[in-house]
Amino acid sequence: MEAILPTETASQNLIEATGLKKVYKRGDEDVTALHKVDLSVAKGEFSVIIGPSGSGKSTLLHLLGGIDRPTRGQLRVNGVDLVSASDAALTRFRRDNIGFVFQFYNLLPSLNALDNVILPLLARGMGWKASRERGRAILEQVGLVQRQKHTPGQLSGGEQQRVAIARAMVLEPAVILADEPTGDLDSASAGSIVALMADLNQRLGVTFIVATHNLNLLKVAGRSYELVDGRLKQSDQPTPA
Amino acid sequence: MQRLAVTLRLGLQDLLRHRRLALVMALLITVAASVFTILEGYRTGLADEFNTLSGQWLVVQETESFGEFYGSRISSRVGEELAGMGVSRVVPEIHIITGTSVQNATLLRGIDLEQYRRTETFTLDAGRALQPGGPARLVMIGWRLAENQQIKSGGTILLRGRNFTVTGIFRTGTYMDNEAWIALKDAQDLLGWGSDVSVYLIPDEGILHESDTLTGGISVARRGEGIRSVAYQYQPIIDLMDVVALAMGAATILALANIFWRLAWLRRRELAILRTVGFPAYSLVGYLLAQAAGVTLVGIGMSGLAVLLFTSTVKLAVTGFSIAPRLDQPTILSSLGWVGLLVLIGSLVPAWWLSHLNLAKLLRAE
Repeated sequence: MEAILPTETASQNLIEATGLKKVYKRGDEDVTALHKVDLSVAKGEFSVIIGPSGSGKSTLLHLLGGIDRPTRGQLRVNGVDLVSASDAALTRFRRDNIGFVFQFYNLLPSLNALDNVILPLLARGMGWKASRERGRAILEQVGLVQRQKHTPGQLSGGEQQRVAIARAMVLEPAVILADEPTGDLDSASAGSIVALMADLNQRLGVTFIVATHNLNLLKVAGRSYELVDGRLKQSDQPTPA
Repeated sequence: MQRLAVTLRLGLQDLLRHRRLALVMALLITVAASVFTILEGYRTGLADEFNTLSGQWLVVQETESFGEFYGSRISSRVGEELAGMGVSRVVPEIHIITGTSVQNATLLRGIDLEQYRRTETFTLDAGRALQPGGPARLVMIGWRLAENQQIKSGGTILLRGRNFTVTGIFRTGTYMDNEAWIALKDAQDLLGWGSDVSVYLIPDEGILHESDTLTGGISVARRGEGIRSVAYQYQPIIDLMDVVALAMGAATILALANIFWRLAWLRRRELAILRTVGFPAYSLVGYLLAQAAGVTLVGIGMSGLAVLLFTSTVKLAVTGFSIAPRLDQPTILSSLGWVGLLVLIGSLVPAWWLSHLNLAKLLRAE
């Protein structure tokens, strides 16, 4: 069998997707959510994908994050082939490489902010005490350390999204995938979340891929794409992060 | 293993946060489990109490009577005949029901004080046993009779209008725990029977056999058969209880399975979040196991209290027999074992099922 060696591009890019296709079954009907998507993302980039609802933005992020598998195509993220990886390998991949931020935060309602943040650390096997110390440091970075004992129900939408970003960052992942991170927030909270992500990208070099309707995010994007009917089109050339 | 422990803790935390829901689910288990336990206890109790008499002895009694219970009266000459036939031991007994109504009926047994310890096995809960040569009007009573009539050792009990002093309270584990035992002579005087008795117990040593008949309308039966034949009258009720207990058992299993499935379904989004942040599929078992075990433990605890309350307040007594559920250690342990197995399966199966559902769809679940 011929060995598959990383290409020069693949070694430079954090994400290398070629000809990604995703087809869903809806009853008897096949629905194509993504058509032959090609995407390359370098480390430290802030990429924004815009597009109308149902255009396939969430599906693309799910594929890039190892939450779902493509129907066809090649996909390597941080050197891991996500097409051939087993379920257990995908779980390890998500834990070690990806931070997720969702529109509706996806925090565990029974846990306080700090315990939500440290979940990835616990999943990696770190003890509670060490995890909580690390969690507090991250909450400090997103400006929420004083709210660490509050449960999601006691936090505003903006605060919950900050907790979700802290959780996504806590293991210093290769990339943070944010799916409509400002979609459920008022404009002031949305502005502060955009600023926080831009700051983390510029200060700490965190790679972000953000799917959004929010055009304000284009101002901080190093690279932007438009996704329409499952087809991805690059909008701008990369700008320095 | 540590991840499993973490998810156990997270599952428990989540359950504690949803106490009201957990309590409602636990109540479902309580109702099903306590009804099953009570019915099964009654069924076991009835079956045990009427089937535990030793078959080593034969009963010589009036033909077509329930001599070990009531209805047989034979002359003492029969005892002499039996001795003359070479029977090694002839133990006379009187069995009768006293009282003025079905509600206050008492099973009375006249016993040969010299020999009754050879035919009866009992332990004393209080007081002492009847001794040969003791004064008249003494009685030993079974613990169930003592409990029903709230009589303690040293107290008195009214038998056919005469007071007898209770010397001790015994326990046999059979229907005899409903009986009052007095000296054979006292029983004969009380009934005005002279030297007549109800039955003679003889060892099964090959001289007489089951179904043998003697002159004067006397026949031989296996000891315990008479009382079993009385119990057979209750057989349709026992059979019905069997069916109902089984149905309740099935209902308990279905209730548990439904509750576990429901818990897993309610928590599907939380479990999807845990999988997304890197918890392996097997650790989901911990989350569900903690919740299932928590709900079940509360349910079982409350059903234990319900059963105790029921058995201590509800007394079923008919014609001198009180019927009590038998909740012995093997029954309880096997029930708990089944519940434990169900909890494990009820956590493993939904966890396996959820771990194979599409994560992206689960994350969108509301």
